[in-house]
Amino acid sequence: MSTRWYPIFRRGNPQLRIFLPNFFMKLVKPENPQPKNVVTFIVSTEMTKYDVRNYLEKIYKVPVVNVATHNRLGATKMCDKGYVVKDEDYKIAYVTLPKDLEFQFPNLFPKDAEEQQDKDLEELQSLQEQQKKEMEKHWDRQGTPTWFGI
Amino acid sequence: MLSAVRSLSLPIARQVLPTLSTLAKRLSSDQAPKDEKHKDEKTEDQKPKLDPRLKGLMEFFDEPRHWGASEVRVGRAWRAEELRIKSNSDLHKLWFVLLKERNMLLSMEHESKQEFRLFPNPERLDKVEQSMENLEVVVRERNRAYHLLETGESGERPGMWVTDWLGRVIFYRKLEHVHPPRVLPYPSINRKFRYRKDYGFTQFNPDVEAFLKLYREKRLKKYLARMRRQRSAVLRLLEKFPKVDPEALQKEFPLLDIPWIIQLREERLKVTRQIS
Repeated sequence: MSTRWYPIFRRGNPQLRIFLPNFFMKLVKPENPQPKNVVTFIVSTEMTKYDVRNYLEKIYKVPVVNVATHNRLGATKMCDKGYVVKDEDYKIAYVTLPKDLEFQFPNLFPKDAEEQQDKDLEELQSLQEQQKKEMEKHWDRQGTPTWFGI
Repeated sequence: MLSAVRSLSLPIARQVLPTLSTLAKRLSSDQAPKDEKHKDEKTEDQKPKLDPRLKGLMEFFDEPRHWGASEVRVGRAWRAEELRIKSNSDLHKLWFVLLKERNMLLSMEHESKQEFRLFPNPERLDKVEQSMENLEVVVRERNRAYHLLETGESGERPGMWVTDWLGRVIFYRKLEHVHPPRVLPYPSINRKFRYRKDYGFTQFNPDVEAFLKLYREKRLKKYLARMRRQRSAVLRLLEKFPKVDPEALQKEFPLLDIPWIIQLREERLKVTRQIS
């Protein structure tokens, strides 16, 4: 159980139950356009279609009609030093929801938040400039409080 | 059990999970009704109502007020001693809370990478993983105790130290097989390993043997050179400071036998005195 020792399949009941599943699932934006009721996941490579279906139905309570999985090769690229480095392989799962459901990937980086960040940054910069000016004003007694002096 | 997990996940999270987004949730509810109002207006304007069946899918994303945020404030990870006082069912529920949290963080991290944006507070992932590790440690302890009490064995996966085909010494975790070893219903099945007692590990390969010989020699030479260097350093020290404390020297050079070196030096000195 806690030793993560996956027993081999034997016929008959009771069947294997996973008490503390360690699988992960990432909901990602699909690379290519998909039908409205298809959701794309990147899942643990050892997960089967049945695992994906059970995971979503039992833990997340999402109705699932079909699951298609593919193993994808991690991207390779040339390193600066002249050898090839490779990302890890991953499994991608296309989960079909019932016909009447539509899932749209939300916009996780809304514009107003971005503007707010820019505004904060500008404010910070202006404050820094003010601080710098103050420092320049008291260049001859650095490190002393402002009330110290004539 | 699984159906209970979802219904109880929120109260459990409030009770026993002071970390992560739940804390932020609580804080926000205390803080600002103003924010909520603002949020409600936005949702009414922009978003159509979400199908309740899709609610689960939205758990793969952070709360909407954290979207695009540059900082998300969270608590610390769960410690093993805190988890030890929880019941088994509580731990089981907490595991799924943590699992969902990790999935959410992984999804957010992936999307941030895709969009070349900042993923706020990536240490959240480490905290969740640390909590999961600690939880597993506690479950394992209980499992072990139970097995020892009931069966006299630890209940852990059996294993042993073996030499693999490259001559490395590795810990081999034993596997389950459909048929027991050497007592097979059909002679054709598993014939290769039928009479082997070593699980197919110890093999004679002349190339590997030759390589290992050279490798061991190199390792020994390196070790001896290190010892020689240290010994000469000690001798130099003794020459400069003859009354140095041998215990301090031993502490400085734990690999060497300092009394033996001092004796050696005295004998050498004797010889030189006799000659001169």
